This record gives sequence, C-alpha cells and structure tokens, in this order.
Amino acid sequence: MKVKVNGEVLELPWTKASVKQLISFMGWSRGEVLACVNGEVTVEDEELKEGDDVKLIPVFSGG
Amino acid sequence: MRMRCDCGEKAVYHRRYSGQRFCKGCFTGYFERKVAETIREHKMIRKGERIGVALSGGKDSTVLLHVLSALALTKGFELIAIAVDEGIRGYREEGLKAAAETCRGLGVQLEVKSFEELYGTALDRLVEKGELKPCSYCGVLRRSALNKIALDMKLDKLALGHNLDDEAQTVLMNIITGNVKKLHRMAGGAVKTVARRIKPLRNLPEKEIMLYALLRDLRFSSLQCPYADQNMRTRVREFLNRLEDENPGVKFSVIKGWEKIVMGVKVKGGVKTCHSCGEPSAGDRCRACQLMEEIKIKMSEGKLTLAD
Repeated sequence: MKVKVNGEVLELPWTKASVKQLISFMGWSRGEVLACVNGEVTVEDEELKEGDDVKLIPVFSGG
Repeated sequence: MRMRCDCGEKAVYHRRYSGQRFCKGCFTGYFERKVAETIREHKMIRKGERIGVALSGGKDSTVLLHVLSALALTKGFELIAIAVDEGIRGYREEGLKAAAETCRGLGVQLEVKSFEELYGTALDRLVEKGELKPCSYCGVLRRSALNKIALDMKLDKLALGHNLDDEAQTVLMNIITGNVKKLHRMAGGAVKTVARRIKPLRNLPEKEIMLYALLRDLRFSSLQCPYADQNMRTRVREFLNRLEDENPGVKFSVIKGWEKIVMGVKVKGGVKTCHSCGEPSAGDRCRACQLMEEIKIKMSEGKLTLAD
C-alpha cells in the first residue's frame, strides 16, 4: 500500500498496516513520535488506508 | 479493537502503560489534573508564593507555564517566567520568540538574561574555544544563571519543565556513571538552593506533554539543540524508549526503583556551600565558579573574547 509520510509518498511492504507498524517501519519507537493521520492526532492501533497522509511528529526537542 | 474513549468519543491517545484510551477533552482534563495532583502530593506550591517558571520556549516549559497560569488563578500564587539566553546561534532565538509570545498571551511577566550579560561570553564561543563538552558548560552555567535570577527576583520556588523521561534518563545516567551522590541529590531534600526547584511535570511522559501541546494548539519551538547529539543523554533516551516499547511503564519503574533506593542510602559528605558565591556545591567552590575562573583566564590571555 502507498501512504504519504511527512510529505513523501512511501510504498509499504504490506497491503494492510497500522500506524504502529508504520512507526516501527520508519525506525522510531512509539515513545518517540506522535502520529497525525489526515490532519488528526490518531491512536497507534488505527489501520491506515491507501493514500493516507501521515505526519510523524518527533516528541523530543531541546537538548 | 476499541478505538473509543470511555466517554464514547473518538480516542486520540492510547496510554499503553495503563491500557486507557482518551479523547481530546478527557486527555487534556486528565493532564491538568495530573499536574495539580503532583503539586499537591509533593507540596510544591503554597498560596501567596512567588513562582518562577524556567521558560525555554520548548514544549515542556510552555506546557508547564500554561497549566500553572490556570492554577495560579484558583490557588492564589504569583507566576513569573524566566528565560536564559545561552547564546546558541540558530537555536535559542526561536525559543525566546516563542517564550515572549506565550507570556504576552498569558499576561505573565518574562525576565530574560543572557550568558553574555552574566558571564561575559556566549556558549557558542565557549564551545569553540573551550576544552569541555557543550553540555558541561551549559548545564552548569544555566543552573547557576537560574539561581542568580531567582535570587534577584526574590522567587520562592523555581518550576522546571522536567518530565518523566528526563527524570528516568537522569537516574540511569547517574547509575551508569556511578554517581551515587547525584543520584541521592536528585531527591531534592538535601540541596538548599536559593529557590527550591519543583518539577510539576515529573509524572508525565514526554509524549503526553507533546500531545497536550498539540491538542491545546500551543506555540512552542520544536528545534533540537545543535549540541544535543554529542551527549550521553541522547543514547540513554533512545535505549529507554526502545525498552518502553516492549515493556510499557518501564520509565515509571525506573523512577519508583530510584525512590526506594534513595530512601535506604546514606551518602557521606553532604552538600556544601560555595565559598565564592554561596550556592550549593559538592566542594569548597562550585563548578560554575570554577568555570567562570577558567573563562576569565582565557579572556585575559586573549583566547576568548566577547566579540566575534
């Protein structure tokens, strides 16, 4: 399936995927990012749909 | 799978360590109650006190100021925001801008002091010319700067935006480096700083603070300090996050374990007072005064200058 992640179209190696799978696929831990799907903050169990626009927001900032 | 909050609204957050799901309204309400509960439980603030909030303009301190400003009205304490400009080009400017905007919006007084004003030089130049790691200069001098400002402004307490992740990382770092004294000092009781430090966000994970900031649409700087990559904390943070993924609640366990250890440990040679500035110190002179001495020597030798 194809989804947009932080502005870039990405082909995932699955036909069905959840937000938490995407987070792990992108190399993040779940404590490190918040996910917004199509502009809304989303729980990580949520299933993604073809063409979804996902923003992964790192929770760490500062130093 | 249930994607709903207990109230029936669509969930925006699944708190894995408790199994609960929250909608926007229930999460923000829970978050504010948790901060109030932490303050009450640890007797952090009393009516009529003058509380300084160390405001960097990042999410943690911005969230802290927002929640405290609402509590200040109902609990009857005074709030002042204080910011330290360390002089990190391309990083600190945005934080200070966000801090000023937040304070304007909340009607809170903001006091800004720079390393240049306090120490005669900026962190960037210290890093360039000095021998220590950036965080060794910054951590010591910023702590001292906050103490000085707290004293000048006659603050009763100094509220810091440290969250659960920060605290768990510090515990692990002190264990890794074998620094039992610092591990003991984290408990707070032994240190008599000019203004007692309080951490009302200490029971909230960093992720929940970010979520609160997003849900409340708060303006904050999300830049990462250019020097942050060079420190041990980054590696400890990554390690703890991976562990938390597999074992939800592990960050709380680190803190609970540390609290139990500290209760049973007696450390020889308590905190002294610095002979030069009167601030708490492990030895006769505090680290900030030692660093200042080194800076003065470098300046007199022409190795470090105020101007670029």
